Amino acid sequence: MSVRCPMSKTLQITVTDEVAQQIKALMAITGHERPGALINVLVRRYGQDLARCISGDVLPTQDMRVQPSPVVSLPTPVNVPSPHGDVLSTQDMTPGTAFLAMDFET
Amino acid sequence: MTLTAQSINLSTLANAKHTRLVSFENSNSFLKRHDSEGSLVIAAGHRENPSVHAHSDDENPIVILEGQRPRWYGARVCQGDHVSNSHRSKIETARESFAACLRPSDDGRDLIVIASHWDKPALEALKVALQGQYKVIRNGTKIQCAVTQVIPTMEGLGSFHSAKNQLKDGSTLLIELGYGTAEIWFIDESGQIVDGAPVTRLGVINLVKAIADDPTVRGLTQDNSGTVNLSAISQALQQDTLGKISVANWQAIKTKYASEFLKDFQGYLRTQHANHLQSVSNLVLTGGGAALLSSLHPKLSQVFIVPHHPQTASVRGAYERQMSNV
Repeated sequence: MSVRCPMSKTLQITVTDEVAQQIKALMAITGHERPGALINVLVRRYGQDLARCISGDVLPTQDMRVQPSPVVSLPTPVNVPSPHGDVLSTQDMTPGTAFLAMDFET
Repeated sequence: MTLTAQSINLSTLANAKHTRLVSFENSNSFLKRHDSEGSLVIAAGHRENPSVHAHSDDENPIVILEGQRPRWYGARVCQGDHVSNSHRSKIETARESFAACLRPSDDGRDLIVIASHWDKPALEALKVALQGQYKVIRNGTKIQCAVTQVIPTMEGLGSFHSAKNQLKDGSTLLIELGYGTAEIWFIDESGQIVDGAPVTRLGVINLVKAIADDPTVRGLTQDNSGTVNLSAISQALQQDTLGKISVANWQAIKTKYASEFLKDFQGYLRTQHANHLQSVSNLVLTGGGAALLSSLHPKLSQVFIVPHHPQTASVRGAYERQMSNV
């Protein structure tokens, strides 16, 4: 499974089937439609230290490797639970992604 | 002898009028000037040969430039038949617009003018257009002065300077929502524009046109030829009502179309700049459009830094930026 990481346009993450299953399970919890969007939230929450954010309970670091890629993608929705149980809000986002997540329905 | 000579020199200096620094922005909707006396904003439209009943003041001046026909500028004339600046190039209108913004205290002075434009290649032409002698009669007062130097600057950088104290460390996405165009600039930590472009799709005129097409607005404001006065709608965006439309209805109409405008704005940024938006530390929203949208949707202030008096932030900031270099 190949995951595009929109947080950094230079990263493309390739993971094993086992890790892919774990990502899919996490997506089911958070409501993300794309794995890249979920990774984006993880990176934003924990910084560029992917190894830290996916170590331990969520994803084993030895199962992933990072490859350069020019891929970019779209930002993520607001208020999704992190793997540690807390809730990510617009305060965790850059102002730009927080603006894109705003609802202007009248 | 020495004392006398010194006295003469001091006397000459005391009577001499010093060169004045002026910041000027020839916007599509407003002519803006800022200097040591403060800001002056004039609605950018005029009518030639106004009647004797035309009521002039500083924001609605009657101006005669070098023997041309008298022109009445400002919000009052824009309520009726007038020539709008938005249909003409900023270079073409630069000199006459600046003349409309002269002050009586400019008389006899040399002026150094900081002038902004969103189009980088046009900056040199703007410089040429503004330089030279001015002989103007403004509201009955003769003003003779010379623009000896023009310092061209990119529109929006002044706003960046105005907002500077509120910025976090890191890069900035600055959006200057003007009437005809919006400028979207990516600015690095040193204050240098590193990317971006003017975007006509996001000019406030698009919001004005959408409101003009609203059935309620069209029904109540169009004339016999079916024409709606866009300038009147533009001005009414800052007011409580338009014509016979009730205050509540007008607020609802403004909010509805501002929401549509913001959704289009989001869509543009999502498709064009999603990657940038994930990395910038600051979002600055400024210009006349910023004042309007942030009043209708206060939650914008949760993500955007909106400078004080955003309509004049650019012209004030350009002045303050230059003064800080002195």
